[in-house]
Amino acid sequence: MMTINTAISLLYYGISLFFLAMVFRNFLKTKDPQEAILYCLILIPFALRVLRIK
Amino acid sequence: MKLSLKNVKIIAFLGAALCAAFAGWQFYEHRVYKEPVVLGPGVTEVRKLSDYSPAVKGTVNDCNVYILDSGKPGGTALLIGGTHPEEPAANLSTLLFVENAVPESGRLLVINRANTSASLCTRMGEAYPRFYSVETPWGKRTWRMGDRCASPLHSWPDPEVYIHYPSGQNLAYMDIRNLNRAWPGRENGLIVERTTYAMMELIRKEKVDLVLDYHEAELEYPVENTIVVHENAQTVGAMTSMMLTSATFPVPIGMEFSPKMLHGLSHREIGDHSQAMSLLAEVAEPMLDRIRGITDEELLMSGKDRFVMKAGEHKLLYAPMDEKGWPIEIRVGRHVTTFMTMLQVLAQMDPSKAIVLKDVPDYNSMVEKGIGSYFRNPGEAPENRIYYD
Repeated sequence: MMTINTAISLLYYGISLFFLAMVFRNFLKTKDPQEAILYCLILIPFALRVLRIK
Repeated sequence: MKLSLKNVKIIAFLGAALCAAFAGWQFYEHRVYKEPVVLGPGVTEVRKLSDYSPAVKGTVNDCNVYILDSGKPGGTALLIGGTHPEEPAANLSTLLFVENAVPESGRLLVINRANTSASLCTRMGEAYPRFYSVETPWGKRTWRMGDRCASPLHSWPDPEVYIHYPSGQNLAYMDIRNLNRAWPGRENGLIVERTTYAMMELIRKEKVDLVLDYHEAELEYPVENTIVVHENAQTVGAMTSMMLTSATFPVPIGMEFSPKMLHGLSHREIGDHSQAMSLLAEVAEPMLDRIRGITDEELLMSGKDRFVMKAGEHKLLYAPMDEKGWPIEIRVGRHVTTFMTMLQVLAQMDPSKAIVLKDVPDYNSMVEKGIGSYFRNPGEAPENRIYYD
């Protein structure tokens, strides 16, 4: 059970990292200032999650 | 002045980074805060839970087990605090024993932080305070506020349905992280199941006679100001309830039986899977009520809330509630006195199992003087008498 949970946790962190990278990419590419601000806000929970802070 | 897109992006990114850093620091500061425990004159040894089972070795839940051994014959009791770290009267009561009690016969084992993982985060979406403090004659003493369940950082993902081991009973998914739904635990389970398994090993190996698990409950919940007992602890529970209600507590303390078909709870499983009498004590904590107002340290410690009081006026609660509230002195006073009375009853029932503790404050002293005067100053204690939970 621990092994399955650890494997899922690792995948989850991988997914979080993927979304973090994609949101950051969109942030860099967007031409809309409102979207840029929105992407920045979305980055916060993903960053805290990947860093295992929350 | 019109900002260029590049400048907007830089400002937004810096703003977000600042928010993340601030929030991150708040979470981190709470998680790494160590609670000092000053060993009282009665503590003869401090062991780790992993000394009883390797199932928790190297995990965050490998908590300290404080042993107060008189060296004289008698019974052995185990006090469990911190099962639900959002119920501070539990770990403050156990700590009061560690820092004050001196055993004259028998042994007392104490766990302050049974589910340490749950004390390292607070309940999501509830805006709990991160810390709470008690005023003492030498300054403030501070503890971590916690959650009901272990942190998802230590136990994740939860199953769709938590199937309790060994009963097979279906429980809510998050209860796999709830220490009081995971008894008697399993050696190869998730962290909370491992913790209860190790505690069961402790109970069996130390031949514990009586276990008391401290809790607090919302006033909207019917299991309130009561002792929940396994059948094997019926006499101790009933006598304690009668003695305290008739002579000590202004608000009665009841007694009820542990449901036989509700699994995972300490009062059921410890009694079913070990030789120990198993009991659980509840006291009112208005901060846990869903109808409460501002959820801050003041409410947590004073137990005063006008919304909960209003519900009381309409007879919607299972405990009395007025402008005096349920301050921490009363909650801890009830818990400490309940256990002392249980020991008294146990000694009357079987003198060979007597556990006599001295220097434990009585209910009236705690209510009148506050509990702060019974906590020791870590700044003045010798280094080898300080441990951290």
